[in-house]
This record gives sequence, C-alpha cells and structure tokens, in this order.
Amino acid sequence: MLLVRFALAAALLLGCASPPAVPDSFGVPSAAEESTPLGGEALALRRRDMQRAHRDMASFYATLESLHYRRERSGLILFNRFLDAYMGTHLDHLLSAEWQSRHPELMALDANLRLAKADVLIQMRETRRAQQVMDELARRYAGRETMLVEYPIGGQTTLEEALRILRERKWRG
Amino acid sequence: MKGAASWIATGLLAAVLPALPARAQNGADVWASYLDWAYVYSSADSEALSKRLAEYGREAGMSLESFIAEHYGGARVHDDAPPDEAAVRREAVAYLLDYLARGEPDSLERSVKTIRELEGRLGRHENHYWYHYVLAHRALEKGHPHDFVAEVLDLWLSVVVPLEGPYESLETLSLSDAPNSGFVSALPYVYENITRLVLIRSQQMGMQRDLDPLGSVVRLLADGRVGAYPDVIPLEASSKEYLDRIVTRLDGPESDAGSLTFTLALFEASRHHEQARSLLASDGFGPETLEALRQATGAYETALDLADTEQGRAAVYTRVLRQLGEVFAAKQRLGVDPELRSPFSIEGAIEVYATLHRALPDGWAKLGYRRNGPQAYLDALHGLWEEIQESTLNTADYYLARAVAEPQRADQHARNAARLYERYLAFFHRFTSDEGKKGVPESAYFAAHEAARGMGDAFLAYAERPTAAEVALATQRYRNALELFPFDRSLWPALTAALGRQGRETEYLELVQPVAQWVTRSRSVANWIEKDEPAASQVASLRRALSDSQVIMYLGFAEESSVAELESGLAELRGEREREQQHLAELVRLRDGGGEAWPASIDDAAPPADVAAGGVEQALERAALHREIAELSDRVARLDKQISARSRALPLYQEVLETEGLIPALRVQRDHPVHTLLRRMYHEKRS
Repeated sequence: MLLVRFALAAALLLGCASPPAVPDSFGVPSAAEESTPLGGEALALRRRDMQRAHRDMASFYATLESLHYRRERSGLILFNRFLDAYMGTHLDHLLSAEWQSRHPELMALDANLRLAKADVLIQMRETRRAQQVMDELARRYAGRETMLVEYPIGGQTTLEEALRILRERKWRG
Repeated sequence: MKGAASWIATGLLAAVLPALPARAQNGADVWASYLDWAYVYSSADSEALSKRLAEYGREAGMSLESFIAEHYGGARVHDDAPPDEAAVRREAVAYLLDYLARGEPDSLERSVKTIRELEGRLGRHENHYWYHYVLAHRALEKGHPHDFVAEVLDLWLSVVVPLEGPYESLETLSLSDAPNSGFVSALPYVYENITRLVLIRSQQMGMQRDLDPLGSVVRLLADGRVGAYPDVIPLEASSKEYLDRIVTRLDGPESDAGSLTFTLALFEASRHHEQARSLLASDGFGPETLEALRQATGAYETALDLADTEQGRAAVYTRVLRQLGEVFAAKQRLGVDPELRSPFSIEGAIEVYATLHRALPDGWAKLGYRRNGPQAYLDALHGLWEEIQESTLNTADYYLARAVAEPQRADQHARNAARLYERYLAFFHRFTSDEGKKGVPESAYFAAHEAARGMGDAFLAYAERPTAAEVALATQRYRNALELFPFDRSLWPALTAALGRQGRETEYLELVQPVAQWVTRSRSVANWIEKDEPAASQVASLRRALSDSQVIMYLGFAEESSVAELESGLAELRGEREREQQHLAELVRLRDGGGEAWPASIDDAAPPADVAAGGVEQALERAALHREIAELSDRVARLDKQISARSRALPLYQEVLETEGLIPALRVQRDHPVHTLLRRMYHEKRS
C-alpha cells in the first residue's frame, strides 16, 4: 500500500497523474528552466527550496540517528522508505540541474545539500548510493575542492575535508 | 492534554472562521461550504468542534447528523461515470467530523470507506490530504502506531512537500489567499493539523509507542512552519508554543536519545505534575489533588517504561523525585499523611545515577547524550543528584517534624530520618572521590553537612530514648558536619551537649581543635579571602575566630543569648582587677611605710634582712605582708591575662554570631558561591 502511495506521489510530481490543482508555473520546472541559470524570483525560490531541503535533511539525519541508537527496526524500515521516496521525488529533482553547481549564489548550497544527502544515505546504510553522491560531488566540484562547505551540519570545512570525513564514516558504518 | 488541545483549537476557530465565505444558499449548500473548509477547524477538540458544528447546523437549518442522514444515508448509485470528487470528499469529511465530534467509530469507518473511493484520484492535493488524514485517524482509533506513522509520513510527502514551493511563491506575490490559489493556501492549516494530530490527538487516543519516526516531522513543523503565518493563523491560536516546547525537549538533555514517544510521555507526565502541584498549593491533599498525583505518578511510570537510555531514565527520575520532595514538604506543612503510593524510590534514582556516573569521564555519548554533548550529561548528573539530595532532606525533615508532633512515636520517626540522612551520606562518600567529583554538584557538600548535622539532631534532639550507640554515632556525625562546614556556629554547642550526655565534655577541645586548626591553615580558605570572593569577609571572621582557642571554647559552651552576660562578666572581671590592684597598692604602701629597702620589683620580693636582728613577731608579720603582696600580684597578673584574652575573643565571637545569614542562604541557593569553597575545602582536606 505504501509503495502504491509513493508511486502515486511520484507520478503526480512527474506530471503523470491527473491535472494538478495548482497553476503550472508553480509545479515542477520544465526542462528549459532546468538547463538555464535562473534569475530573479525563480532563483530566490530555488534557493529557498534548497535551504529548506538542507534543513529538512538535518532533521531527517537526527531522526535516523535516534532510531539507530534505539534499534527501532520497524521504525527504521518505515522511515527509510519515507526517505527513499523523499529523495526520489523531491531532493533528486532539486539536485539534478548542472548549472546550480556552478552558479555563484547556489553552488555552496548545492554542495551542502549533496553532502547532507550522502550523510543521510550513510546513516541509512546505503553506502553504494552514498558513494555515488560523493563521486558526483567530486565530479561537479573538480578543481574547487578548497571551497568552504557546511559540514558536518553546523560546522564548516573544505569540500575536500568533508569528502574525506564522509569516506571515513562510510567505511566505519 | 485536553486542555492544551482546547485552547489551541478554540483560538484557531475564533481566529479563522469569520473569514469563511457566505456563499451558501440552502442548508445543503451551507454544509457543502463548511465541509470544503473543514481543514480550518477539524482539529479542534471534540467539545469545541461539537459546539462549532451545532452553530453551522443552526445556520444550515439542519444538524450535521441530519445532513448526513439525508444526503448520504442511502446506498450510493454506482454507474460507469467517475464519482464527483468534491461530493465524495465532502461525504468523507462529514463522517470524519461526526466521528471527531461524537466519537462514533461507525462514522469513522464510513469516512474511511468513502475516502477510499478517491484512491484513483489522489492527484488533487486536497483529496490526498483528506485521504491520509482520515486513514491516520483510523490508525489511531485502531491503536496501530505503524499505520499511523505511515499515514502521516505519506501525508507529508504527498501533500506538504509539493505544496511548499508553490505556497512560498504565492506568498511572495501576496496571492496565498487568492480565491484561485486552491488547496495551496491551506498549507498553514495543514501544518497546524498535522501538529495537532501527532502531538495532541495521538496522545488523547493513547498512542504511546512507536511514534519515533515522526520526530522528523515534528522537527520540520517547528522549523519555520507552524506559527510562521500569523496573518493566516494568529500566533496565540496556533500550536507553536506547544510544539516548540516539545521540540526543545526532544532535542534537549531531557530527551531519550531523540525519541518522540518518550518525549510526549514525559511531557504528559510533567503536565499532570504541574496540575498536581497547583492543586496541592490551592487545595492541599484534597481528593482532586490525590487523583492528580496518582495520574502524574502513573504517567511518569509510563515514561520510565518507554525510556531506552540512561538519559531518559535520568530525566524521569529527576522530575519524579521533585514531585516526591514536594509531597513530603506539603505533608510536613499541612500536617497530614494521605494514602499515596509510588513505584519510584530514591534507591532507584541512586541506581540510575550510579549508571550515569560510571560513564565518567568520556562515556557519556553511549548513554544517550550524543547529540547534546558532555555538558548536558554533566548537567543531568548534577540535576539528578540535586533531586536525590533535596528529596532526601525534605523527607527526613518531614519525619523530624512528625517526631515533634507525635512524641509517643518520636524515636521511630527520628530513626527514620536518621536512616535517610545516613543513606545520603553513604551516597555522598561513594561518589566524591577525586576521579568522580566531576559528577557531583557543588551544593552536595553543604547538603552532606546538613545530613550529618540532621543525623546528630535526629538522635540527640528529636529521639526520646536514643541508645548509647546512637548517641555516640550522633556525636561522630556532628563532628563530621563540622568538618564539612566548620562555619556552622550552632554545631559547636550541639557537639558539647552531645558530649555532655556521655560525660565526655572534656574531650571537646581534643575533638574540635584539629578542625579549627585545619581551617586556619587551609589554602582554599586563604585564597578565598585573599581574592575577596563572595562572603570573604564572613569567612575571614570565622577563620579568625577559629584561630583562637578561647573563641572555640565560647563556641562550644556559650549560647548566643549569653553574649551580654559574657560582656558583663568581662566588666566584672575588670572591676575585680581594679579592686585587687588598689588593694595591692595599699599593701605596697604599707610595706614601704616601714622604711625598709624593698626590692625593686614585687616578683623579686624576699624576706627583709633584719629578721635575725628584729623581733620574731614583727618578722612574721612582714613575711605575711610580703606573701600577700606576692599572691595579690599573681592574681592581678592572672586577671590581666583573662581580661586580655576575653577582650580579644569576645569581639571575635560576636563576629561569628553575625555570620548567621550564610547558612539559610546556602540552604536555599544551590548556586551560592560559597558552595564552591566548601567543595574545595573538602577535596583539599582529602588530598
């Protein structure tokens, strides 16, 4: 049942379900929008979306950590499913555009969000997917490894150091 | 819980309902309109909701029940045409409201059955919202936490996440309440309703397990969502304050490693506790108070059962001991002894403390404090200790008060108090090692003094017939109390009285002088005075006093009321000295009047040389005069010494008497700076 719901939600967000009740301009951005750096209110909206998602990921991480600590197996299964769906339907879309990794106003946010995603995936014991996120980060930010990022959440370090910490965490489990 | 839900809900209704559109024509239209806006008011508590629905019923000319019976009572005609989404949704909402207002499970089942008809049409966020909202209520009704959590997470994912971006865009353009904004404009209410569903309704329905995955949703709601739209839902009508308090607990040191289930249970227990405290203050131990106390105890028990970590257990014990202390303080104050039971004990709290303490210095993260850090761990250790200490002292005080009130059972009550004090002292000595002292709060040292002193008092001042062993132990405890806090003036005479009961008064100086000497030599005390720390002048007075053995004797044998007598005694001594001095001068004149060559000093006085030449009788008289002068001179010298000593000691003793304010201040202020001095002195002495 849950999967059906997630599938429905995914279908809705991908535009395959019945017509949305909100104006098109507020729905999922079109391919053209994704390939072009945004400006004005659209850029502000993307920034807010990314900031919100980053904070949300921090909350998800805290909850995951607590569930692991307390060994709540059924809670973990439920929450992992939710996170899978959240990333699949919302976060991945928010991170898919290439331009935002180069945009001066968004690149740090973009990197922070990817780091948060990798962190959550490691906490979900999804090491392979976490590695993919780290590889993607390395590819997108090649030559910019000294850029300062917010990692761990609340702290600040270089991207290179953040990736090193993530790799260590990934192996430690 | 009902209280919290009620004020939030009533406020919300009052704040938003005047904005409802008056577009209805007939009764059915009126209900259709109100049902379309049900997300605004559906999370009110049943009483407020019933009233609201009754008002709508009056406006529509038919009650909700009549509307349901009239419009949805018969079997729906099924044909190939797709159902009218709005009509189906309204029907599901109508049944849900009926269930929420009257608590009728059949209505909920009808709502579930109806909303399921929209399963193929969940693309509309409004449908999706009601679908999960209704199913979440059913999960609560059935007591299925797993389903409840799944429905709320689905609701978040399928309604909140996709609406947030559009809502922000509309809000930026000031279009969030435009008529065409659709269900997007409902987002603030969706936040509010999810908050109430998770934090309030779930607890009303007794869902007290497996809610932890919803901790994330609760944190998200508190993060700039609930309360962020005061133009839509005024702050006073929203659940923001309640939500913030929950999140503070969830992520704070009183959490159970971030468990929402535990946090809600402990919050509920604290609420019962506050209610009981308030009733205790206003009604004493009336039936309502007793019931509230029982409920609070039961709720704390539930929270303790849910705690998985030492962090959680410490949080429960810290609060429950506070309640225990309050109950004993009230019993003492009111002079009643009501029938109350509690599964909690100070021993249980000591066990929890011991487990926490074992993690010193670096093992705190394993106990649940990983996200809170080492300071939160230390604060929890200190907090639990202080509650153990206060509840012990309060309970022991209660027994001492009963010993006075019931003289025929004084021995029994005094011994109960003594056992409590002794347990605290054992607890104190167990954990105040050099390695473990970090986990001990500064106020613990004065409390140990109080316990040692209390134990002495229990046997010597309250018990009617203490045994010889008890008297000896009490005497020892008085001395221990002096070692912990030598500045308690009233302890010194208590010790002499205790020794007096055993015929050991002469041992007084032998017992106390080492304590006094240690104070005068203490580096901690010297530094305190040198750096002019708080109360340094009082400490200096006390140190000066303890450096004088005459003052120590005064402390042991003189009572405060006899200071005037001591002063008048000194005056008498001076008078006596004056008289003796005059008498001496007369004798000297008499002797010198004989024309003899007298020694230059009285001390060198020797029999005159003419004894052999003069008459024996005269010689004897002269010898007697010389003896008398010598004796009188000695006496005057002794009086001079006494006067000098008393003149020096009396002001010091008086200074000591003027330091009385220190003890009550230390007793009521756990953070009084002098607690730090006592801690330093204790560990300096041990080292």
